[in-house]
Amino acid sequence: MTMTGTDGDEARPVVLVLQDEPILAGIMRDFVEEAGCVAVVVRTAQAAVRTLEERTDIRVVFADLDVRGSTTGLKLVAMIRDRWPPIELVLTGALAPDLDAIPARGVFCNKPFRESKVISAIRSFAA
Amino acid sequence: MNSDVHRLSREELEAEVLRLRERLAEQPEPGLDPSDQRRRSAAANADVLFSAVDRTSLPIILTDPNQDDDPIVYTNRAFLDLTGYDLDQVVGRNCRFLQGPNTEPGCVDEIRAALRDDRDLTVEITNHRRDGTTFVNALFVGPVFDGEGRLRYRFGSQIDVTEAHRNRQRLADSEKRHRAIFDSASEMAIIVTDTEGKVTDWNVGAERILGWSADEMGGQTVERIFTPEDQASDRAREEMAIVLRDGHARDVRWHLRKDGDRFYAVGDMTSLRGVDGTHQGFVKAMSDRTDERNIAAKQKADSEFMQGVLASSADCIKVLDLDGGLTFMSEGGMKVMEVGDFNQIKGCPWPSFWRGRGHVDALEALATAKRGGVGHFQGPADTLLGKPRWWDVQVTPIFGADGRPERILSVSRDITQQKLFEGRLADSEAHWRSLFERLSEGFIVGEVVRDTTGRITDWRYVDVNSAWGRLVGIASDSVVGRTIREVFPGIEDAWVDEFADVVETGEPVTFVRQVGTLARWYEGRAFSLGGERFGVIFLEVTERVQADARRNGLLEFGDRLRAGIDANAIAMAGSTILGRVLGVGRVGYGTVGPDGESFVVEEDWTAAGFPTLAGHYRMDDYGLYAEDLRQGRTVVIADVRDDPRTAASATTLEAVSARTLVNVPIVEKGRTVAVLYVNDGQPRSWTESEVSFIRQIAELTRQAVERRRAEERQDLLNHELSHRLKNTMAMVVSIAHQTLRSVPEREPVEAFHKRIQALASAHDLLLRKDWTSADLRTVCREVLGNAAEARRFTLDGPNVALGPSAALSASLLLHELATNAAKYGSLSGEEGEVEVQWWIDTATGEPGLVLRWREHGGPPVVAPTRRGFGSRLIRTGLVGTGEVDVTYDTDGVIAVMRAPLIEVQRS
Repeated sequence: MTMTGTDGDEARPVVLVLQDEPILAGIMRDFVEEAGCVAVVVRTAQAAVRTLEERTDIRVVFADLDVRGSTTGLKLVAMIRDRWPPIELVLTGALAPDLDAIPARGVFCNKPFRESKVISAIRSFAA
Repeated sequence: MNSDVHRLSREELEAEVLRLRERLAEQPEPGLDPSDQRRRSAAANADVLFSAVDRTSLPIILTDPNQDDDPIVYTNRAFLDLTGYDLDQVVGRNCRFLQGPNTEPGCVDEIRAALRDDRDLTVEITNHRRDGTTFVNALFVGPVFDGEGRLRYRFGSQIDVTEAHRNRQRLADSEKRHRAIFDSASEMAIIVTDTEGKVTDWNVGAERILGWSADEMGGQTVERIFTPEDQASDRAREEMAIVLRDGHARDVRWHLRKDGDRFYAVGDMTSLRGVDGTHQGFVKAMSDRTDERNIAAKQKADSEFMQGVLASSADCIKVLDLDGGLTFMSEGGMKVMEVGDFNQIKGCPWPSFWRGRGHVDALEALATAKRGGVGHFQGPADTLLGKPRWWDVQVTPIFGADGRPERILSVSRDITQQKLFEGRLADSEAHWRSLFERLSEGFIVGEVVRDTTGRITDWRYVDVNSAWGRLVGIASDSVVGRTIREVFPGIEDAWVDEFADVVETGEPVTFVRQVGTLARWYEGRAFSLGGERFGVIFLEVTERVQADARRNGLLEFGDRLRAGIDANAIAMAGSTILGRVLGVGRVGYGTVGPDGESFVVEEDWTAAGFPTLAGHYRMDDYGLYAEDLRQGRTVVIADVRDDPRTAASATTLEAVSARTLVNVPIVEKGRTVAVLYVNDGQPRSWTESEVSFIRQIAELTRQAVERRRAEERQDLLNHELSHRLKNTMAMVVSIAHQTLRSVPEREPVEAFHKRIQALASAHDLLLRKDWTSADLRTVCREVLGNAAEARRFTLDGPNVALGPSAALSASLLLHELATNAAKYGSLSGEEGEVEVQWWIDTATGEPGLVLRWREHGGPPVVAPTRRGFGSRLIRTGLVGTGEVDVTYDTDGVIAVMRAPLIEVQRS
């Protein structure tokens, strides 16, 4: 698990980023910061759950549905919607999942990212 | 006693007793002449005699005719008892005091006369007792003379014969009356017999009619008057039996006279009953009706004869003499018998016209007629010209005046046609019967059975052929008369209901149905035979039905496989189909561990009520056949108790309801990795087709599972690849973005970004269809949607699936066109539109896809002076064929692209 935080950012909204691909994780962190938020990056769904259990300040989860592990991205977002209903979801992946499977208030951003769309989504949810 | 005898000296009395002794000795023969009596003598002791007289119960008196009025001088006790008088009232009086009002005057006169003449007399006379009552007195009076012949006493003895007299009188009266009737009925013979039929009475009429006198017939059996035929048939005894049963027997027939003649009698016989009602014999009364009979018979014969001649010209009417010789033949008869001249055959013995059996029958019929009966037979006889004919013959007697057959009438009717038909019928019956028997189809004639409400609930076998037995496996002759529910307990109701419908509606039906208890299928047709009966003709089609079921099972399995179900579902589908088609209890797959010993069943298919095999096992626990499976050999065991590989472990197998089994190993890379098992609770001999069906399903399952695993691996791979590809694109775009962040001119950076986006969207479309194809309309919508509002595009064309290559290049191409239109063309302003049309063009031979891009409503168009990357992309065309025509019309750009359809759709 990788946790990154910047001191003095307490005032800014915290966004949990789930991405196992390091370069993409960096890009996604840039988007989060561009949107004026603080990014907490994890590489597995299990780590994401643990983080959500430990921290109560996460407002938005920005997750790649294609991360590998015993829990798929889609199951994770369903769990988040169930256990932490207020958390907003910004999702991405190789293919858009069934529209019905996207939890309410979730936004899917296709790859390659359109920077403006992603940043505005994060910004609006974190506000 | 002595004291009783008064007025008579001892001497006198002794003397009289001597005389009396003689008299008494003669008493039993009263009819003899008195002089003879007197001559007889017997010596006896006087004392003994006297006491005997005195004590005898026979009343005795002595009178003395020498005294006035002939008074009684002696009487014994018996006389006093009889008359009721005392001794004093009797002795000294004349006997007439016994007479009274009822005394017959004639008798008195008779007595007087006898006394006058000194004669003995026996007379029955009604006397009166002292009390006035009467009795019939069998009186004997006789004179008693002394040694000199002088009349000394009169002797009298009396016997009360009142009862006897009364009976005799009654009898006489009755006799007289009956005899009168009996004799007066001379017109009627009245014969009385005892219970054995021996004649006891025979009246005048009987004498007159039958000729025998009463004396001749007395004690004779009545059968004497019966004709020989009646005697032979024991007619007399039969009649007597009828009388005893019915009370009387009527007879109208011929009887015999003494002279051997016959007479026709109408009579009636009844039982003779005694006074107590007991049967004592028979009374037969009969009258002679011979004349009437003869006239009637003659008239009848004559009229029949004449009618026969007139009416039935087709019949051959012959008159025969009693020896059977032909004396007459009707004209019609001569015609049918093809007799030209009757003289040819006149006198010929009629029976000789018949051959073989017919000859015997003719002789018999003739004999019957001669006995007075009617002979009848059917037989073949040739006409005189040799034509074979069948005849129905009636032979009757013609009675003579004496009532005996005189001549014989023979009437033959030609029944050749009828016989021919009968013969044909019999032939046809035999023909059909043999056909019926030889049929390979089973045949049933059935008759429905109804319950009390009239509903058909069952049916009975009336007939079945031998094929029935072969097809059903039950001896044909054991079922006739039994019902189908008796023969096959628990048989499907349809086997009754459907045939019931046939009987009720008369409509035939065709069926293909199983007898579950036999596990056999039959196909056939049932049809009404009229009434309550129906016929069924059928074949066993078990093999065919099972083969059909197997084929359908394979087809169904194929369908299930195409539905794209996962590996477990494939195995279950195969098991289900096997179980259902084979009708077994359990089918499933077990995986064999790498050690070749552990055997795991996750789940299996079972028939209702059959236990599952799910669990972990050690293969060797179930018999020696485990080795066969490890070696990859299919194991077929009909009965685990009998097979040497399982006999020892039969109990273990039967504990899991595996009495019979087929196990097919699934071999991968030389190792048995799984086993398909088929089990049932009953022994079963597996046919080759069944085993091969199981192996087919096993093999199909194996292939399908393998293919499905490969597909699953492929899917996983594809997904992983596209995931990586998209990540890579995302990284490329982000890197470019970051790298070119400081470049002041943003336009090329943005163009780059958008081109990658177009490529990615085509990639998305292809990925949704497993990278096989993408729909052209969807491609247009995706790509153009990124460029402008959807309302500014018009899309028109058929559904066309683009191959991956065409999808990628079309996406880039449409992206460039849209980018240009947005920059310089119709989409650059607020109003312009783009119309995209495509169609399949077959005009030039090889079908091609034509796509036309037409802009309108935009600013005036000017052809570009410089060709950039975008223009070059456009000019490569849909699949790099370069068949692109771009026109810079003033109204808007028109681009028409063409590519062979086969290229466009290549995957």
